[in-house]
Amino acid sequence: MLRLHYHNEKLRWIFQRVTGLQLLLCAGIHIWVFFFILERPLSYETIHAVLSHPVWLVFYSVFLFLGIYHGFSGLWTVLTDRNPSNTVKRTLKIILISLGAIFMVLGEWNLIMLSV
Amino acid sequence: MKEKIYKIAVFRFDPLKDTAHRFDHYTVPASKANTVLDALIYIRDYIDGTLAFRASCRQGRCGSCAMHINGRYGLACEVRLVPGQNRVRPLGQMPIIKDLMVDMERFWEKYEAVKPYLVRKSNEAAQTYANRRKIEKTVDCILCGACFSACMMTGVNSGFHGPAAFVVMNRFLLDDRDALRDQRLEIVKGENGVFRCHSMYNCNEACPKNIKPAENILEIKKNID
Repeated sequence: MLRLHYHNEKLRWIFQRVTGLQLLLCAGIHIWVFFFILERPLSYETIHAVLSHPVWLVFYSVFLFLGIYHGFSGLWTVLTDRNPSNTVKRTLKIILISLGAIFMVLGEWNLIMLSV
Repeated sequence: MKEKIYKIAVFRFDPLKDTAHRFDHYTVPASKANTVLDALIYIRDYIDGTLAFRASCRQGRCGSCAMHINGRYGLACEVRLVPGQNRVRPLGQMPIIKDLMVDMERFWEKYEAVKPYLVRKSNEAAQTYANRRKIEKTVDCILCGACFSACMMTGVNSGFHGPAAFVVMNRFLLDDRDALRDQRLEIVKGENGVFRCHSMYNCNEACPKNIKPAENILEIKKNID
């Protein structure tokens, strides 16, 4: 039987808060760079130039991971608030982890395509 | 003190007879010092003897008369009547027995689940003054059920213990003499335990004794490894 279970609720709880704070920081940096540093109007070339730099590629990859983890972990919390059966929980976990992985791959793929 | 006429709408529902609840409107003569409980007792004694509600000490100590009064949870014996319309409903999240009386079985089940008693480490039960001061913020809980009713999570998740049980648990976690620390933490570290709390602070708002259950929940979270 598939077992996808967080054995440590505290770790998940802390990680949810930590990723939330990191997301705020990343979003702040993103807004600061795109609205106040880069020349307007933004073009494909500008975005390409930013993402060509490995530091920014890593930054946006981390940003993407944090967003997806925080979003899907939050969704899991809300969807299991009503304490559904173990079967429902297991199905939900499979769906959410699969969706998260798909979004991560798609997002990362786009970032890499924009960087080359 | 000069008496005036106060209006009060009281939630009425008898599961054995009614298909839906209703609000019955009463007018009661009272002074501004009178509480909602005074009005309910007046209604029961002089207007409608079928009105059902719980009350006992009349001085905010027993917690029997907790209900939803004018939009907030509180003790009917502590909340004064307001000019204009007063509105009284029973505690939420629990089945209604009749009118303002609810079945608190689930509340007590959750309370018992956290082992609300001291198991001493040794026969010597001496407690330091400093440790007594530490538990002071929790011992005032009168188990009225107001926080349990105000909590969104107790309403949707049958496995969630609820704020009152967590306050009592924290009382024993803070107690140096207690020997069940690990067992207690084991009870609430799971998926529907203390981490299920969304920190909405409804319990803090509802507590008539100003205990701040949400902060006790946070303290328990810190204690879990």
